[in-house]
Amino acid sequence: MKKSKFLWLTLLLVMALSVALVGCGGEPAVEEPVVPEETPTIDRIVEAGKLVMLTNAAFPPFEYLGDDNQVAGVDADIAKAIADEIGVELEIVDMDFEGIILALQQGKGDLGVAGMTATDERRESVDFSINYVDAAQVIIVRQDDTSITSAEDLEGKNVGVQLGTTGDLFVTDETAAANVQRYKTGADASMELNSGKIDAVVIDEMPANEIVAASTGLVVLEEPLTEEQYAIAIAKGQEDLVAVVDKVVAEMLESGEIEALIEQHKAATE
Amino acid sequence: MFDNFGQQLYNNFILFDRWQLYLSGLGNTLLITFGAALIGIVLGSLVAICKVYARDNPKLKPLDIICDIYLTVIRGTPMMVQVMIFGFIIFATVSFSKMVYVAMLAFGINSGAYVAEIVRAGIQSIDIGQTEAGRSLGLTKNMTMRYIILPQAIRNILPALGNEAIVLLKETAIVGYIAISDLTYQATLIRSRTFSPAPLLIIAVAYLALVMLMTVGLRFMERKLAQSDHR
Repeated sequence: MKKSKFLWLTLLLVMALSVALVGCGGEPAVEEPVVPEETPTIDRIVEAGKLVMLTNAAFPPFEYLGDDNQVAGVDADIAKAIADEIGVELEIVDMDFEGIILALQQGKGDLGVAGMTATDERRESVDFSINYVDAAQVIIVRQDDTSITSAEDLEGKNVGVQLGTTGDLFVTDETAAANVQRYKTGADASMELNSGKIDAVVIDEMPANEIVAASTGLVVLEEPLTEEQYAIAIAKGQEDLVAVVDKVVAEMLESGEIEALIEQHKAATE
Repeated sequence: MFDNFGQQLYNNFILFDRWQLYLSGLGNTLLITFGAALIGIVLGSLVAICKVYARDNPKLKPLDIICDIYLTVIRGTPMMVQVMIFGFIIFATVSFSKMVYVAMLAFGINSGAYVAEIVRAGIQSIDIGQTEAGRSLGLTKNMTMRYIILPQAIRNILPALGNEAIVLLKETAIVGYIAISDLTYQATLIRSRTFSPAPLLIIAVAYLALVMLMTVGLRFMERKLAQSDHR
């Protein structure tokens, strides 16, 4: 589908160009100056009156089911700040994590704020804002299981991950795990770990701490597996929106607000 | 896994009024099921009647072929794949708030294929003598179908149709794949916060209660329709 879309776009572009050339009627083409004030994406959002944030609300403290039964979390608050900056309402859509990038490309949402690591692979499909959190992948094991202490020990084990996350990519590509079980949410994976069906779960550090705090008999291994950064995903070709997001995120980072939000939401979910 | 089950039940149902989430999910589940059942019955009956008429009318052959393609494609691919094709390709640009209607259509079109075969079997199960009797009494072909064949056929296929409705209700549990918050999706959402398996049992009870209600309703209808049997 992507390829055919590309072909259509090329065709359209060629047609538009030829029309433009004919229209010029041989006169020397005057190069339009780039107007930095032009903000088509922002205009569209203002017109719609709402900024649509896509997320998977199963990733505390970044996004989770709040006590008021609405999606809450660090990411929701950052998106709210962005919506306020633009001057529109924020609408949060909860969906499967692996569907977020596709939905952005289809124009169903404006921002993908889901504790998403800005990997090179994902950059091919969407643009990313500046990083807003340093994160890491960690291993969760059962308390009574001492056979796993590092990434090497995952060899030959059954390892649970959340489908499409960087933990999934890491375990699949970098370790010799016998079996990678991919779950819809970290909660599913931790339940299976608890019942002994899998030997370890590889997931982002902060949700891992939440999971361990909420269930008995699980521990997080000290040593992180990877270091990575979260950023906000935005469909390609919307530089004006990226600029606004970058500005808001930079301000929030500088004032220490994001740090404070993380602490606040950690406390709220424990 | 189920240490202090009562506490888990409380955390996953009553705490923070979480039952409201189940209720709103239930609303979407029922909406999709009823919408799809309606679409399915209308579409299925149309297709079945087309196929029956095409049997002895060569002019309707193209219609028969279209119906066959529809039945083959819909019954030959998994419902989950169809829902995702509807959500992510055909109606890719529909906003999330209207997705529930997309699901309704997807399930309705799917159900229609099964209903069509049920209705066709029902029509064909009526003895040809009934048609002959109707026609020799001076009824037209359409009148025979409408007043003699279909009423008897519907009575025969009611259990099968009810079965299809029950399957439909349970099958809607997959709409979470296209980001619709039905009963099952809400359970997943709550589970992601409480890390407890209790929501699964809660929704299982909810589905079971719904199916039992439907069964009672169907029995009642069957009894009503069977009254004409006492002759």
